[in-house]
Amino acid sequence: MSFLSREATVAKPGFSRWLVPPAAVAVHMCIGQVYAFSVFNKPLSAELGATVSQVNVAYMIALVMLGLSAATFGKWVERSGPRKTMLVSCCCFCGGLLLAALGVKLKMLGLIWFGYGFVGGIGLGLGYIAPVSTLVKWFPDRPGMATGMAIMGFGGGALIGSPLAQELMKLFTAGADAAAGMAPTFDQRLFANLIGPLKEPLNALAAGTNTGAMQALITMAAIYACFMLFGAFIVRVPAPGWKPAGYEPKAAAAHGMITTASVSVDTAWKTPQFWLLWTVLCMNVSAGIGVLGRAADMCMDMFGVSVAIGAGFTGLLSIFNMGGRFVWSSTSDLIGRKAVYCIYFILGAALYAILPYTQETQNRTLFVICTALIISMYGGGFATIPAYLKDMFGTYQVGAIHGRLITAWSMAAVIGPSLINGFYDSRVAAGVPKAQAYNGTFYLMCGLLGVGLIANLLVRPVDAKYHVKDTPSA
Amino acid sequence: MKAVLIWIIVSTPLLWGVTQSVKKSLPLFGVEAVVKK
Repeated sequence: MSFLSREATVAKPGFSRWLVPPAAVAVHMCIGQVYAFSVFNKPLSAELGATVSQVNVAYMIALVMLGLSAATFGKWVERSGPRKTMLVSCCCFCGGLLLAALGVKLKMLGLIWFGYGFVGGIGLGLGYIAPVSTLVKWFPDRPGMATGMAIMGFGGGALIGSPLAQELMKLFTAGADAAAGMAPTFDQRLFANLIGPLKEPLNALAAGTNTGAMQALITMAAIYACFMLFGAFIVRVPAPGWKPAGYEPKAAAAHGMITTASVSVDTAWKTPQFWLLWTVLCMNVSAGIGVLGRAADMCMDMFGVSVAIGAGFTGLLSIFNMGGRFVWSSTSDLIGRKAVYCIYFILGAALYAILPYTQETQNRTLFVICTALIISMYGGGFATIPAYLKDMFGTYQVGAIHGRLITAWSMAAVIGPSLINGFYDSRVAAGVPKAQAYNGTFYLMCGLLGVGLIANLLVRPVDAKYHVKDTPSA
Repeated sequence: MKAVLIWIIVSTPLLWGVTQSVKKSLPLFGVEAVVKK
């Protein structure tokens, strides 16, 4: 198994570092499917006779496991290298999809929770942190851009996962459109050509189910496995001591917020900087979820628009969520990590404060611009954090440190929506009209962003007493 | 050449996903959604 070891992935002289980001994107765009799990809510609910909330537990378990596995296996990921980690991530994530498919066949909701949630969630955590330290080591001069590219892939995964599952379920349920006399769309023809040969055997395997969800899960497992294995195959780590031509770590660290020292993962979480950054991420995520989680409802309630327009609004936000990851984290290479988070928090809070005005004046365009910017910064917050960690703790175990910090996301994903929905529900119960009930939520978001801003402003370089001696430095 | 091919392989699905989201967001701008041909 030496092919999988870290040593086997060391790049030969002359290797182009620009071949590494596609490996990271290949893995991230697959595991980003988790954001699109809701597309299976109704089909699985119909197959199993369970409620949508019960089915959705699989998604929540997956997000919790993402954080827990990233935190637990971070050191193993650093030791094993990206190729082995990506392979294990592929086995867990795609295996989880297959177990979920088996759960549909056997009508066992518990198996879906275990497969997609627990096993698949471990795959998410490993896949999420696997390329981070590799990218940071390849791009010490532009860590924000490099990790932003990978994490943009995660945002893109949602954009792919949802329509992919829908097209596959349509394909396997044998053309209701054709029965209604409607010609297939370009995408339907494309999928029929690519997946068509699998249709009969998979439909035979799925006898007794009728939504196409089982076949879609199996097909997605196969497609995602191809991309994740492709990523694992092409990924490389730089040779010890390698640095880009013309890059001088000491010069890059001149303004003090970028270290050339190293801090181990076991020490990092004992520093105030770790917990300040944990708070920064947690607040940024919680505030973004405020819009993302209820986007369609919010648009419909505040402006009285149709369901199609509400869904269109969600689609637009997804694009900004993805694009913001690359744009904002690349910007952080130019203006610094602390400055870019100050922008997220100050501009984010200002934009949230404007939203009630947009409802009052029924200015839909301004509302869309403000929320799109907010969501771009939500994505940017995810993408910029690995580079911030690299600045604070060095490249030595940055992947593992990132893994532990990801628990902030798990926490925000569980607590954020509860807090926001609870607050909104209480306003509605108090007799506030639905269109205005969001206003309080927006001010709550401003408060969360304010907490994040204070945490960010308190971040200082890590004390030298925490630095590890005699380790590879940036 | 190899690098270009690798970039095409990973960016094609992403572009497809973006296209799907753009189609989905068209009603927001007053344009009819997916036109079936």
